[in-house]
Amino acid sequence: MNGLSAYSVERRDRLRTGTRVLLALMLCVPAGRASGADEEPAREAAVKAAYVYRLSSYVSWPAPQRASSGPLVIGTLNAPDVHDELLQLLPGRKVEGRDIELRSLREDEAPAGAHLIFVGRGASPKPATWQKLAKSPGLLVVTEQPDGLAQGGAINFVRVAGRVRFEAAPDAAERNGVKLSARLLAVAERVALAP
Amino acid sequence: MALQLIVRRGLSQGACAALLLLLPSAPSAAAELADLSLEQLSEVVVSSVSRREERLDRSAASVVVISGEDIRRSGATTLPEALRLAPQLNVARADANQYAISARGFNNVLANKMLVLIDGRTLYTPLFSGVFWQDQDTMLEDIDRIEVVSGPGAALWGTNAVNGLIHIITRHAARTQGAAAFAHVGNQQRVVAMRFGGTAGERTHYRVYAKAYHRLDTERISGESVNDASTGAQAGWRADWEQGPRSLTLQGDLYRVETGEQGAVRRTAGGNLLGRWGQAFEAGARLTVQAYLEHSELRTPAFEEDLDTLDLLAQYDFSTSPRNRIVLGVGHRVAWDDTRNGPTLAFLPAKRTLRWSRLFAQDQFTFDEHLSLGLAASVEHNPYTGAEVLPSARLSWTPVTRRTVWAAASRAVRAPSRIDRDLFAPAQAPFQLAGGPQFESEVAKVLELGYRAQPSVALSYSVTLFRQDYRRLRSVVITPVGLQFDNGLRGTTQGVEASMSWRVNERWRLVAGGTSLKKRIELEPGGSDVGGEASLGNDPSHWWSLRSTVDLTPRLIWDATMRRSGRLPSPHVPAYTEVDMRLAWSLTPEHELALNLRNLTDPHHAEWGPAGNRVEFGRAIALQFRWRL
Repeated sequence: MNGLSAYSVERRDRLRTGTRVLLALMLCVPAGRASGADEEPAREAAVKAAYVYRLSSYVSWPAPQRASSGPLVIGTLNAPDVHDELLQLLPGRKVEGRDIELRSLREDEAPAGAHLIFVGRGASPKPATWQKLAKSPGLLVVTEQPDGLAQGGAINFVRVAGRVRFEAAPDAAERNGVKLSARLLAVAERVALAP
Repeated sequence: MALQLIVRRGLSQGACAALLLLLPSAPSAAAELADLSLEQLSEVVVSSVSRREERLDRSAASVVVISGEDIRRSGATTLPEALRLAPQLNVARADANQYAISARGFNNVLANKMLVLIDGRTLYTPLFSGVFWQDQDTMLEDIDRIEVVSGPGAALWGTNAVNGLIHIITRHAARTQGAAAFAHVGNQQRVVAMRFGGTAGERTHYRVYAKAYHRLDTERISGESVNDASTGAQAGWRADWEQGPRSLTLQGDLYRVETGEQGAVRRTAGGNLLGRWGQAFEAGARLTVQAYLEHSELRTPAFEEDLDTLDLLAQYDFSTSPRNRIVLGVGHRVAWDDTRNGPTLAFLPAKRTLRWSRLFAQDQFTFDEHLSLGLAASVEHNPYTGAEVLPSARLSWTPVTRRTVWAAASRAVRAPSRIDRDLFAPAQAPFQLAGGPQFESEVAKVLELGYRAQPSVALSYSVTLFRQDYRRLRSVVITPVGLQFDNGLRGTTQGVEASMSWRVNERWRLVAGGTSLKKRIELEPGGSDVGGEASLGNDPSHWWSLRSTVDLTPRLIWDATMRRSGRLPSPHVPAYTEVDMRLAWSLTPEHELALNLRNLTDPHHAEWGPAGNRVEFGRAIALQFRWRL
């Protein structure tokens, strides 16, 4: 009998403790935010813009670009949606202490001074343009085209199971003197090796 | 000796709780997304097209995913140490090589209520329905993630997934290209591991790896050596081929382990070969066929075993409408178990062929964007008790984006293993202990209620309440021929699992989690027990951990973990707190040098075993070098 009532007391205490723990956990986080901010799914262009910004932290540029104290220059080519997202995202952000400059480039424009160029899916650059991009020292070429790596891109976005992933061609980057870090390659959906 | 192990050490694991899910959600603003890591960005769902893939933050289960990056940052060199990152798992180290690992109680070095897999291959011995953790290894650098689900997974995964499921998933070979090497030199162990990944033709990626380790003797509190030093070597490979909708994975491992056990040597060796074929069809349907063969040899002073296993599985996923997703599957496993018995311990018949067959099905119905119901069931036939039915129902309600309430009800069983039915100790009558000829499956009925939220891109948390009601738990009864196993006990475990992840800023992340567990074991009406309860686990009433990961500079990272385990009741093991730290410096993007410090605040503590006989773990220091090309 004693044992039974001891058990009831124990159970009551246990419930109290459990309730307290739960309350504490739920209270320690802010309650909800305005519902409008919670739209989903995320816009694909926003995810790509975030990638473009984050990628800069996972590559190393050749010595001349690294030594420069000027801004890190990101160019977009026929990618208005990603460009718009970058415009929202970049203010106030830096990469390793450097400011970031965003430019919208035209196909006939030399990507002079750019560290990273994003070639949008709306772009259909001529072979000569691809060649120019692939031979621009210190330039990382990022694409969102079905055969982006075959064309000479070093990073190409692909859709996998509803997510934006990327494939990487470290050799293509290396031809421009840009090194993709091991951590970046570890996240890549596919790593293409030189033929 | 083995008998004492079986009867005394067992135990329980406890529970459940807390988790930490860091699930990348779908923040819509680019500004929020920019704070995510590459790994997190790669998990952001950008389209509802993937409806058929269940998103973790909506799944109706207590799930934690340990990422490969978390494992690498933890400095773990063994699978059990990596599993400490899952707050709902109770991980207790018994000596240099042995661990007790379980969720929701019943923890024991012979824990038998968890199902553990590597890439779809079950790490399970039919001797006791559990895992010999000292024999299980893989190239930790190549792990993609470990999914830890506490609570039953039996409806989809079959018997034994009673208290939880641990699935270790290695990376696709395309993601492990190039050379990599890892070395760990410390005062408790040394490890060296190498991997090379390449391509063969346009569509095939492969990798090969090899590793070796030596663990030094551990000591009792008296300073006396336990003589448990071990040496192991393992090599393996994986090849992935893809062409359009078709994919094929082939992989295999070979290993050899020598472990000191109280003056004697325990030797194991083995290998496995696995193939998995996948074919995608229109409208998202997918067929997966998997087969593996495994051979293992166990040599202990008390007995020896050769075990061969063949396992076949086919699964078809399809949709009858955008709202209704169905999974159908069939599986068959055969084990040819050949034991050579000594005088102290025998499994009889010494040679036994065991067959398990199962059918399983799941229907995931989405009523609208807020409400979804999953009904699943397995029917599994085992060699001891015939067919067992393992159903579950899981309801999830997402009233607001990234806030999900879920509830689940399940029935799971642990089917008898050879220990429960075929054991005789000593080998000749009269027996001190023998398997029960009538031993039945242990049954658990489980209720769970969970809440998971990600109120901001930087913060996510999860809380699960559970109650597991067990019937027919293993007891020991007196019979005219000696002591035998019986099903004379029943019990409940209930508690809370909670976890939280908070990205304080771009460089600093805090992860916390813990479990609170209450366990009660009593006699079944009409049942009796003369010591079986001791093998139903030695569980703390709570355990928790707090982990901080800081990128001090782009090249310097500092990780610290504090974890606490409550006292174990019987045999009594005092509560302890451990603080670990790791400082890693990237010399170049390809080279990392790290200093690992474990048990900083405590000269020594025990995690398992009776006073006087147990191992006390002292401070550990190690240098780790990692190289990737």
